[in-house]
Amino acid sequence: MATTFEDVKEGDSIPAFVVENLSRTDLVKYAGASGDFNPIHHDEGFARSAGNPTVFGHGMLTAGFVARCITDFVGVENVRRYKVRFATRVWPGDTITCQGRVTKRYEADGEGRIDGEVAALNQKGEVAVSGTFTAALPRRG
Amino acid sequence: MAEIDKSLLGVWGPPSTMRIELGKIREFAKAVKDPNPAYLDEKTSIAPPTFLMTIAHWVGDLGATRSAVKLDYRRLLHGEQDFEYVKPIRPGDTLTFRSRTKDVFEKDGKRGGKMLFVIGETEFTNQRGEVVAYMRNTAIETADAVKG
Repeated sequence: MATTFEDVKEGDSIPAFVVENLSRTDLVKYAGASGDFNPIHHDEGFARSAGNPTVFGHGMLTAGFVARCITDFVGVENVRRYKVRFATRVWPGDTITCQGRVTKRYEADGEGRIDGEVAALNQKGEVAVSGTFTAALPRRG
Repeated sequence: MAEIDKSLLGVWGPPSTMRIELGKIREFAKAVKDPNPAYLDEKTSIAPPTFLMTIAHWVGDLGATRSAVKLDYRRLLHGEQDFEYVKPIRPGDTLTFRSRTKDVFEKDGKRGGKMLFVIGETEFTNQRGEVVAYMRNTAIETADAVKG
């Protein structure tokens, strides 16, 4: 069940979601699912010819992992906005930890809403994706 | 480097359609490692937050709907992505979408020389004529391959 508006306080943390040992297969699955076939994410030769050591993850794959953190916390139908910024890239073998916290709790347009900040960190603690979201939470019935 | 036609900035491209299918929702949810039951059921399922990225299956490439800028894919970085959700998107929906390039500007980058920023926006309307979502993105084209 999604969290209710009454249950949330500003500063609350959002349970983390961890992806261990990101694989090239994960990148290929996301390429197929999303339709993003930029070869830099699956073609080793292409990635190297563009000056990269190997293929790297789609920013939106990591953003999809982060979205799971948000929807597990607020419920899919309750997300009103989700904005992400891409920082360092993720590479095969990386472990990615998605986490977040509630930054604001308020009423707007008759809804009980929260804003939050989220991030995906690699195993070195570097930010791969940072983001913000807005959600309208159900009220305790 | 990118070719830019500034006269096309802000001008909506031609509309296209995309159909929302349960199988695609399930495939997408698996790819982002999300077992949420909200993505599994024919009657109640809903598109995940970043599902609209699958628009790529319904257009030739970004250039097909964003005619103001032709980008060099070898030097292309994804800077930001912003989703605004107005109504739920469900299997069986047929969405009409249109895109525009909102802005283009250049900045000096720390890691890759001059960087070109391209801000795009896509609006999605369902079969009942309701706007369901906006998707905005910032693409960055670097002068050299990016380090780091």
